[in-house]
Amino acid sequence: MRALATFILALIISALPAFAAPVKVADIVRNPAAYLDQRLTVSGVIGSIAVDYDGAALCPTPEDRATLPAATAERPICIEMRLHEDQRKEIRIKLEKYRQAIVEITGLYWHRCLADLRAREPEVVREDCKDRGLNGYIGVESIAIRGYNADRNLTGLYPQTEGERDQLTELSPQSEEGLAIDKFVQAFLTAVRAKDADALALLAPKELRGFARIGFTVPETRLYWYVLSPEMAVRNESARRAGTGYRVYGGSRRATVCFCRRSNCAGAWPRSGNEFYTNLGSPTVCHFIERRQGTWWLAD
Amino acid sequence: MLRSLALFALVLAVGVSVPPVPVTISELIAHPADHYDQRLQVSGVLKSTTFGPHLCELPSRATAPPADAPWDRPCIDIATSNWPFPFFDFSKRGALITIVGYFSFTCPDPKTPNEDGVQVMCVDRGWNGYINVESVAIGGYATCEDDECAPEDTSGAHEVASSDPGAQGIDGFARALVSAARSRSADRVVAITLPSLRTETRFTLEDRSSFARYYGEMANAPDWLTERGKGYRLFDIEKTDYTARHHELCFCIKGDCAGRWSQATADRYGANFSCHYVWRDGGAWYLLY
Repeated sequence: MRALATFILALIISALPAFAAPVKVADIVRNPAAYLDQRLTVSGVIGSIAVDYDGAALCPTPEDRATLPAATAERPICIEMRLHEDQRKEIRIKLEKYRQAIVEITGLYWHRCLADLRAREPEVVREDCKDRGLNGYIGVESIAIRGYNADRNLTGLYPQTEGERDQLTELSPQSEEGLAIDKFVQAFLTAVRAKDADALALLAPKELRGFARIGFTVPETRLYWYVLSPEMAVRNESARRAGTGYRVYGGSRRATVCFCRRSNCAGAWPRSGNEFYTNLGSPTVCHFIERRQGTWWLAD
Repeated sequence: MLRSLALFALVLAVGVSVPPVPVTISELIAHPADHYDQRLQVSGVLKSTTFGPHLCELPSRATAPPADAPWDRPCIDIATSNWPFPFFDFSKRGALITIVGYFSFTCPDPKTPNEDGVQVMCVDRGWNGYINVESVAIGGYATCEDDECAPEDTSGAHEVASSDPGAQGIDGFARALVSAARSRSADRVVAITLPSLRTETRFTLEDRSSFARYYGEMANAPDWLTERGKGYRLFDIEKTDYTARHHELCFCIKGDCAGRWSQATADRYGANFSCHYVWRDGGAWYLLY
């Protein structure tokens, strides 16, 4: 009886691989064959999201990255995420929820291009390997977010070195441009606070206002999520103050306005252009603006 | 007082439900600035590309592009932020659609420098602006009259005769594939797939909408779908972009395909045929894609 119970328990446990400790991306990169064609739970950081092409990649955490050789185009260290349409849409809209998120992803793992498995297969299958620079695929069934990576420069496909990061130019709030942008900022924050889609649309130049009309009224769009969703909207009144509530970076035609989402962002303002692309763990949220015919507008 | 209130309510109602202005794609391209911040109704032919969907002028209205710029067709981009179809959905290519929405243009005049003296390239937003979608309706499919909708070259496709030893076993395989489609079983499709592709196929087909996109028509086709010659045919393909030969198994999913089988392998978007890459190895047939 006891043996039967043990046997049944073992059978149940063997059928539940997803409940085992997560596998790390680094483990798979080191030995993909050991994980081939299995349903896994993989821990890592979503290190790359290509919006236009609906691609995303799961990369090692900074700690695990240190255990692997440096990433190169010939020797990548991330796994490609394959998404169903509903997941793809979710990620495309809510980029900041997934960008640099520390996650556990459950799904099937496969690899098209392991040399010893593909040698005798039809050319049409091997042809697919030419552009497959990553380490196989995980077909995403579920994503559990455990936090956000703080150092966003170290977990992309090819992390940036200190020397590669662009230097930011902060615009003085007392300058002529700074004062003009402050008018824009005050109008923007008032409209966001009131969730006034019409007022927000009027902050877009006429040739882009159509984009704004749809974006600010349809909750399922990227623009609505980024500006008006509860997760992203800037509603704290302290954000109105130039220097402590918001800062402006950029030039004479295009600029980036970054708002502080906390009570104090001292030491936490963006240090490079990478950090304009925020996530839910970021202290700031940034918007691109541009000057057309002497007026500052929301940029596309 | 009551009359003023009624008038106010009427004005408000009209303002909220301002009807969209019908406009042609040719007009939008010719005079974009006249239509900024207007609620529009635009009809055209859907063109799906790997860079997203485009709306092209109806064949009856389109003029031929210049000989030295054949890509310069009268099309505008469709913004995908509220696009209801999958981004890479090529199955609706050629659809006649009507969009209600707003027109935008990131770079209305790329030929002149901007205020920084920089001549901006606006390829990422197309050359003719884009329509932001409020709603979209499909009203049929165009009879394509230009090379964008023309069938692909099928000169490299040869039907494999029943008597050909190379076709041995295909009848049983075809029946298995039809049976799997009709039972809407991803497991059964996976079972006849090349082993190294089974995991990926399983992931793709476990999503119901994907299964329907690939096998929905076969699932609903008449019984004669399993009859060789009438319901399906096998083709040997020699393509220039792949160095090896492979085969396509094509099923007739719309009406009677007599006289149209020569175009089966060119029907990439499943209008009349459902074609599948298959491979024969050691006497057994396998599904590739």
